[in-house]
Amino acid sequence: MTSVPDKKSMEPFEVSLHSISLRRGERVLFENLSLKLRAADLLYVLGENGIGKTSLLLAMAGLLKPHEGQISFPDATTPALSSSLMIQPDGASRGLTVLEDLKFMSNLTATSSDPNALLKKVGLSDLAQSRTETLSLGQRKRLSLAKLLLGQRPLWLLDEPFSALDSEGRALFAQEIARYIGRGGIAVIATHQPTEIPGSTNKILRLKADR
Amino acid sequence: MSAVLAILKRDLRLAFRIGGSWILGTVFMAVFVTLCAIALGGQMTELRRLAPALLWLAIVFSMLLSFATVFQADFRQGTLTQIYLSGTSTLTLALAKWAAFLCLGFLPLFLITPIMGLILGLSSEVILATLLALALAAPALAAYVTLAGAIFCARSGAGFLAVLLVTPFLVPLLIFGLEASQGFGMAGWAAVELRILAGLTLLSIAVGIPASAAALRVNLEPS
Repeated sequence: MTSVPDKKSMEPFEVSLHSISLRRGERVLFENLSLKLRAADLLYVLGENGIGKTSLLLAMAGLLKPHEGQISFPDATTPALSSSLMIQPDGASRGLTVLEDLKFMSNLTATSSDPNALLKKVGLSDLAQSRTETLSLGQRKRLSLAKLLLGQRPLWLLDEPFSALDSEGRALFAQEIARYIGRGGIAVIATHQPTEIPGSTNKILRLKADR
Repeated sequence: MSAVLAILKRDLRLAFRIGGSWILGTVFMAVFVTLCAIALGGQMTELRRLAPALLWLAIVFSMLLSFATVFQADFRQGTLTQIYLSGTSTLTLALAKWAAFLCLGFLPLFLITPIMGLILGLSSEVILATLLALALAAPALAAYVTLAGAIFCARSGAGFLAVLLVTPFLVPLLIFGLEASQGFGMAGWAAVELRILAGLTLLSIAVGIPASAAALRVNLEPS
């Protein structure tokens, strides 16, 4: 597994949200949210269904424009160049095998990581030649984790990463997130069940409806 | 450039594995030509006169029909989002999808055109001229189909809108495409219609692909 770069620490990175308001159609999700995330921060976003957790992740990934306010990234970078988003639907190509799908993403991002080593790491080696549509939800999550590790981006935006995973899978995710935070990455996790990530201090953002 | 090749390779591999536009298009074209021959009473003199126009219509309709195969599945399964977040620009994405559509949505039709032409009783000279004009117009047709696919990738059931939107752009290509094959038959390479058709195609690429990229951007980053 020598070709999976995971020891090296990342460039310092920070993201700031300046009093942003998000809307979906006419519906106001939340207003006037400001926060600043620095290297090695882990933020849990909690709140009931439909409160805007996923929308917040989408906005940080640059896929949803805030109604007001702005999200600032360091100079000379954009969300598309610095973030990885794990969300449903996960983007695995129906018809490709697991290995081909991972190789496709690795060709796009032109990383040096070895896809086979990554699959071994996330426990999908045996399924490398299976089509992605035959995977279970938990196995798809593991494939998404492999893509996160492939990208080596400084910001991870994870929507319910722990759901549908078995206990071993949850431990694997927690361990990889901890290692990522340890290297100076920033993780934002939208979830209903915060999981203890070893060796990190968690920040918690609880979204509430004002009405 | 490597991203274009990666997307193109993936789309070709998927097409051979799970089918898609190329099967739909070729079957549609074969059925269209057969039904036209039956509807026109099977009289060879009539068919021969109308055949180049019928072939053009068959190809234009087949390509239009498969507009949804360009982006829709990838949009729904989240692949477009992941490609976009990988740092690939929407222009690169549009270019790759356009090239893939030329290979999958046009090339198979182009390859069966001579057979269809023979069935309709065309001479080899006319078939050759038709193929030449089709090859010249194909990049433009593919650019407009890509544009329709990009605009409507987030909406299923928007087929009629796509057809309405793209049809006006196809009219000049259809007119000059048919003129070009006739012109080639009479004046060879010197035919001025060939040059007009080539110009239209370059213009369509220059407009269609950046417009597709802009449409993808709007669909991926709704405000």
